[in-house]
Order: sequence, then structure tokens, then C-alpha cells
Amino acid sequence: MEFFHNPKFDFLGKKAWFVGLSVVLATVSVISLATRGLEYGIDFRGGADVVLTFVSEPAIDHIRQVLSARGFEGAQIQKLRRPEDPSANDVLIRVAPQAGETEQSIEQGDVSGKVLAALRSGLVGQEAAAGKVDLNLTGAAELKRVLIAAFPGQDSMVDGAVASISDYRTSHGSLIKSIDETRSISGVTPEVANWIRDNAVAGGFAIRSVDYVGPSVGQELKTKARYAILGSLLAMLAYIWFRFDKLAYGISAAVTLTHDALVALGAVSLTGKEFDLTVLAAILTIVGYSINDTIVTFDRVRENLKTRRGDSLEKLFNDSINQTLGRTILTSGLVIMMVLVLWLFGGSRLNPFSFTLLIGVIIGSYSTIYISSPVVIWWRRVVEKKATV
Amino acid sequence: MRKDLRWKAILVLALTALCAWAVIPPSKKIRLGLDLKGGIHLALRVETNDAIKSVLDTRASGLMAELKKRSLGTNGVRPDLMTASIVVENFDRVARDEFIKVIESDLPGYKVGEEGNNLRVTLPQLEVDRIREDAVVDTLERIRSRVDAFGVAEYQVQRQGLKSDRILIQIPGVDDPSRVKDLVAKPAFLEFKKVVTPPSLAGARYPGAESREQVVQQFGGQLPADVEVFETDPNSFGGHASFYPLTIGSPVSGNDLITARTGRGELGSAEVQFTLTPDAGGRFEKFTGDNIGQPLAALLDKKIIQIANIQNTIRENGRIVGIGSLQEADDLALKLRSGALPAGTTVLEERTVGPSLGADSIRQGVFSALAGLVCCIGFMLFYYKGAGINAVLALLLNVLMLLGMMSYLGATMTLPGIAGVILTFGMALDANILVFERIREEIRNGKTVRSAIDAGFGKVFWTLFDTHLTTVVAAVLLFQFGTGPVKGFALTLVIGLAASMFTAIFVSRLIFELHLGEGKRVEKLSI
Repeated sequence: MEFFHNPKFDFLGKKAWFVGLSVVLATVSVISLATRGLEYGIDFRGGADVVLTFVSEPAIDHIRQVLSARGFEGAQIQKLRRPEDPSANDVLIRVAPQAGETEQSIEQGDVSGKVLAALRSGLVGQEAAAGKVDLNLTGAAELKRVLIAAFPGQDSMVDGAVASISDYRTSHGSLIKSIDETRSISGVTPEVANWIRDNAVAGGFAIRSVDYVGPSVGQELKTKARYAILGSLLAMLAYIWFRFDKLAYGISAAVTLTHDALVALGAVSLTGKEFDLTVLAAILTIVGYSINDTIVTFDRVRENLKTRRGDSLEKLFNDSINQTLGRTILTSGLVIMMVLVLWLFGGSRLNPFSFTLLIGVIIGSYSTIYISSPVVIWWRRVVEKKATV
Repeated sequence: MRKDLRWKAILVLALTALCAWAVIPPSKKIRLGLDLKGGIHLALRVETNDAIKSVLDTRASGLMAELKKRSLGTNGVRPDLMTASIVVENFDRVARDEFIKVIESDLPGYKVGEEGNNLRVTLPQLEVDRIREDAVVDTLERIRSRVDAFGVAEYQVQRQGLKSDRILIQIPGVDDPSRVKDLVAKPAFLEFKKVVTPPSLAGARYPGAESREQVVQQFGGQLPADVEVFETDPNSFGGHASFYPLTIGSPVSGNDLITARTGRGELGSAEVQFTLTPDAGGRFEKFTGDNIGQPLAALLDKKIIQIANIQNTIRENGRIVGIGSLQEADDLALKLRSGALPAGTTVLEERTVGPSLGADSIRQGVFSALAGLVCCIGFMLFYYKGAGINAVLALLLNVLMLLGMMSYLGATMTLPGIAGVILTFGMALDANILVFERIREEIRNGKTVRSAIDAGFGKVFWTLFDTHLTTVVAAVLLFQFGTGPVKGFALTLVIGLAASMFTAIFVSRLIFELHLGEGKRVEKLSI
């Protein structure tokens, strides 16, 4: 099986079209980054994101009232769709950091804790606040501690009950809907079920995730992220310059990668996806991966150079691109396929990551041909005034 | 079989066995990150300034007492946290030498300097560093013993970096993050102080004031030198915050406890019973004996949690009543047993993943990985036929080595880490494709199968080396982003690429050579 048998495309002859396309994409990206900017995720923005899942359709207005009454007037509250389980009642509560706020001691600064406490007293009601165990907010270890205190010396019974309850809860979307359900869980003895009936409640919600990032941490990460992207580009420039012994190659690699990273960032900005640490990871991966095609092509150019001193730069690059075309198409195709799988099946938490990667890998596979090679030729010819490589 | 081939084959088989042994069964051998397992991740900063402040306070009051004893005149001795020094204000210049003598004997090693009418006594830098270091180490130790009491296996409490003031805490399987934070990060410094009734209200039980200013007013606009105003903890006072004038000194504190445990009072309400050291018990006995009938306040972290009249003398055994629930009493007893943190802490970052989110992520991650693997295998067999088997074997070994290395290193698999594994599939096959395409090309150019394989592997080695290294460089840059998940991604990518280099060059070539066999001329290669 072979997709391309001995291809002889004139890639560089049509470079104007593709360089033009790249200029357009890059310009759109720059404009979007300058005007719309990036929607920073919690890692960089700071503040608290609390995602809760409710037993029944939650009344957003009521949650808003409860939170406003306890000092969170500005909190953003919205329903979240869970693609893999549309019947789930997820709610995101987002508390932005106050202007000029710095980290504070645990008493004042525990934003997520305060949000949860407010919801617990406001939604679950005073009954739970009166010292009962909330089955939907109590982890296995804690449940065990409480039950051991209630049933001293009956460790194996308690262990069995705790394991069954947590398994049941995990397989029922984190939630026990009513306290009577526990009686029907196999592994929970009647004694334990009775104790639970008297001493526990099934609060109306469970925690899906809590993220809190202090304002100074977010700022610190933002700075680090910029340096990391810049550092990766410079590292590639230096590495390619060193390995191929000509500045032209290094410059071309840096230009190509900047183009790839820029377009990927532009796509993130245009689609309004959140820029979080995983997206940063995707950008750095694009930089590290996109260079591969360029290295493969340049290696071929260098090899061909030994036998074909007389050829023009264009012909040399064109032939080298054609010789490595099979590999370029195949690997790009495979990696794009892997990223596509991630994008389709990886779930919502990985979505911004796989989206960025998908754009970057697609852009990266054409930029070698239409950006890297023309830049080397241009640099040698126009800047260094040489006709060969 | 050629001798070197046999040894190579044995080496590969041995490595395979080692990795398989490290990986099987994956549910036990692969450590999952908190983003998959569910749990709480906390990054705390130890406020080491608190520890410096408490040392300065002690030194300042010690020096003041010493100066008073020698009747050396000054307006007061005040600690200055910014410069880690204490300032003797408006000192009596006539007795300057005597001042310096007293300070130098009381605080040896401290630097004394004159600033106008004040004397500044500065803590030596070494001492400052030691106090900060001790504060972090002690805090770490005490937090560890508190987390240990949770009874959770595989928790982690560690310092982030050698000299840093940051502490990372990871506790799997916790559903309620607020309780963990309360238990882990609050200092839990217990004190007992006497309520000082203002002369204007003498005779009655002090009712508590609405504000600090009101208390000051009750004292006629000026608090006595040994009195300070404290606030009540609303949780222990029916949601209401009020203010009380208390003595600054306290006869005993949390540091004097031998043990603390949960108990039930007469009416079945929760309480914490504690036992003091014999020495502190003696002090407490004298103090309570002198103040029978007077109100005494118990404070936790500078907030009043209980006020009660002293009924009898109390020696070693006391109790704190009026606690909301048994769980809260358990928590307080635990905190008191582990000892107060020497400094306050600040939450810099918190990541809690509920168990259902973690379970969903594992399911999606594993499904994506399997789907990716099936796609890769299908494609390679379809496109390269016989050589495809070679690539598939190399790929499977690559995955096995990646997981095996992670298991040996004790690295955790995170959700982005799974994405890293899937990407590694693509990148590992890139290496195979590069070699195979080259071999095809060499065969097309008329080379024999054997020399085409030699040329294929030989010519692409440095290309492979470069492509792998550049990706590793980019991944290494991610390590500085301390949060677990992204670091996990970088780590799987680096390990996966290292394994890919080995499988693509060493293992894949070995399979070709084993397939070609010895000596005889091979005309056709399925590629």
C-alpha cells in the first residue's frame, strides 16, 4: 500500500498562495488576541470555580439568593451541560478575585469553603448544620471514622458498609438521593442503616470539583507561561542553528513555530475557549512537535546537498519535500487522528487541550512545506546574499 | 541465529518481562493522580512572619521587664516586624551605656544601633533564617500528624522545594474540602484569658460589647496596659460576634497540653477534655484558685470560643464545652493533640476533584487510549502489511515500557498524562514510518532488502534523535508549572519519547533482522 508513489509536486512554485494564507491566518490571530484577548482559565485568572452536582434540577435564582445573602453578590452562577450525561444537574459557581485582593489567612481567604458553607446552610437547611453527617459531602475515610465511633469494635461491618456506600455513590453520579436509599445498598447492615437514618442526611448536592487559585499565584503563572512559550521558541532556534550549523535554518524554525503557536492561540481566542495550563501544555507540545517535520525535511536537504551541488535552492527543497512527503503525510495523519480521538472521546476536561492541539498539529504539518522552506531560501538569498545552502 | 541477535533478543524479552511485572495489574501498580482518583490538593504558604513576630513580641516584653527592673527610663519597647528588630523608644540618653549593657547581656548577638531618640535592636539574619526554617519544618510536621489522623492511605504532605515556605498536601478520597482545610491549615492555638470587667460595669457579669470602640469607652477612653480586646468566634456564639476585654497574658496555652480527647457532657453535648502537664497544672491551679467566681475565656486562634465562670480550682484536667457537634469536637481534639502550628497559613491553591468526576475521566481517558491504539494498529497493518506487525509490536512494547517506567519511578498518571500517552502513540509510530519510508525508497532505488534496512535505520538515526529531543525540550519546560496534572503530561511525554527512541531503533530493527534470518539472500520484504 502506498499513497504517493514517487511524488513530484512543485510545492515551492505555489508558495505565494500559501504564504498569503498564513499571513492572513496570523493577522487574524494577532487581531483576535489584541482585541478579544484570551479567556483566561482559573489557573491564570485566580478566584474560585466550584462545580456542584444536584439531585434535582437546581433553582439557579435560589442559589443566587443564598449566595448573595452571604456576601457573594458578584458570583457568576450557571448550569453546566455534561455531554456524557445530559441528565446530570451540574452548576458552576464562579467567584472572581476582588480587585487588589491578595492572599489572606485561611479564615478570610477560604473562598471555596465559604461558598460551600453558605450553600450547605442555605440549601440543605439547618438540620444538616446541626451536626448530622451529610452523606453526599463526606468522604469514605471520614464516614469510617464516624461509624467506628458509633460501632466500636465492629470494624469489619463498618468497613463493608463504608465500601458499599462509596461504591454506590460513585456509580450513582456522586449522589445519594434520599437517606432511605442506603437501606437498600447490599453490604449495609440494618444497624448501620438505622444509625444513618438517625444521624445522617442526604444533602441535595455533591461536589464535582473545586478549584481555587490565589490571585498572586495566577499572576505568577501568567508570567511563567509567557517565558515558557518564548523560551521554547528560542530553544528550538538555538537547537536547529546548532544542529544544522546555519543561522538560516534556526531562523526558519523559529518563524515556523511562532506561526504555528500564534495561529493555535488565535483559534483559542476566536472560539473563546479557556486558556488554562493544559492549553499552555498544548502550545508547548505544538512547538516541540511541529519542529519534527521541519527537521526531517532539512535533514533530507542536507543529505541531498552532498550529491547535488549544482541545483538551485528551490529544486533542492522541492525534491527533499517530495522525498519525505510520504512520511510527512502519514505521521501528520496519524497524530491528527490521535488528537481527534482525544477531542471526540477525551471528555470535557480535556476539550480545550485537544482543540488547541488539533489546530496546532494541522497548521504544523503544512507550515513546514510552505513556511520553513521559503524562509530558509529567502534568508540565504536576501539576507545573506548567497545562492546555495 | 547470530550470537549478537540472540543476546539482543534476550535483552528485549527481559525488559518486556520487567516492565510487565511492574505494570500488571495496572489497577494496583499505576498510581493515579488526584484528578483521576478524586481528592484534595492544597498548596499552602506558611506565614513565617508570624513566627518572627511572636519571637519579637517575647523578646520585646522580656527586654521591657529587664529595663524596668533596672529602672532605666523609656517610653516603651515595641517590636518592628518589617526590619525584624525591636525599638526602645525615647530612651534615657544619660544612661546610654547602661542601656546598651543591659540589651547586650539580655539579647546576646543582637545588633544595637541608635536612631535619633530610639535604640534599634536587630535580630541577627542567621536567627531570622532559623526561625523561618523552624516555622516551616514544625508546621509541616504538625500538618502531617493531623493528616495522618484522617486514616487515609497514600496521602502526601511535603515541602515544595528545599528552602521554600510552601507546603503541598494531597489527600485522596476526600469529599468535603472545607473540613480538610479547617483541620489541616488552622493553627489551633489555645489560650485561656481572664475577662477584665471595666470599673464602670463592676459588680455585674460582663455582657460583651458591640464593637472594640465600645469596650475602650467603657474603660474611659484608655485601655489598661495589660488589657486587650478580643472578638468572639460567631460559630460558638450563636452567629453573633461580640467583643470582650481580656488580659494579655494567659496562664496556660495549647503548648502545655499533654492530650485532648472528645467527650460528652452531662446533657450529652459534645466537649473536648484536655490534660495539662503537671507544671502547667500547678500554674492553672493557682490561677483558678485566685479567681473563683470570675469569668474565664478560652480562645482558639485569638478568637473567643467559650466564656464561663470559674467554679472550682482546676488542676490538670479541664474541658471546653459548647461545641456544636461531635465531629467538630473530634476535629478540635485532634488539632490540639497535634500541637498548634507555629505560624498561620495561607491557601495559595486548592484543587478538589469529586469521585464521580474522577471516575468519568478515567473512563473517557481509557476509552480514548484504546480507540487511539486500535486506530494505530489498524492503520499500520493496512499500510505496511508485514512490516506493520513489526511496528505494532514496537508500539505495544513502547506503551508497556512507558507504563513500566512510570510504575518504577512512582510517577502518577493524570488526565493530561493519558493524553500524553495517546500522543506518544502517534509520535512513536512517526519513528517507524520514517524508517519504513526510507527502506521503501532504498528498495525502489535498487538496493537489496538487507542493505535497504541497514541504510533505512542508519540514515534516520540522527533525524529521530533530533525530533525526539526537541519534543522533550518543550515538555521539560512544562515541569516548572508545579500543578500535578500538567506535570504528569510532561512526564508521560518524556518517558514515552525515550521509550519510543529505544523501540523504534533497537527493537524494530531487531525484529527485521530476526525475520530475515541468517545468510540466505532475501528478495522480497513485506513493507
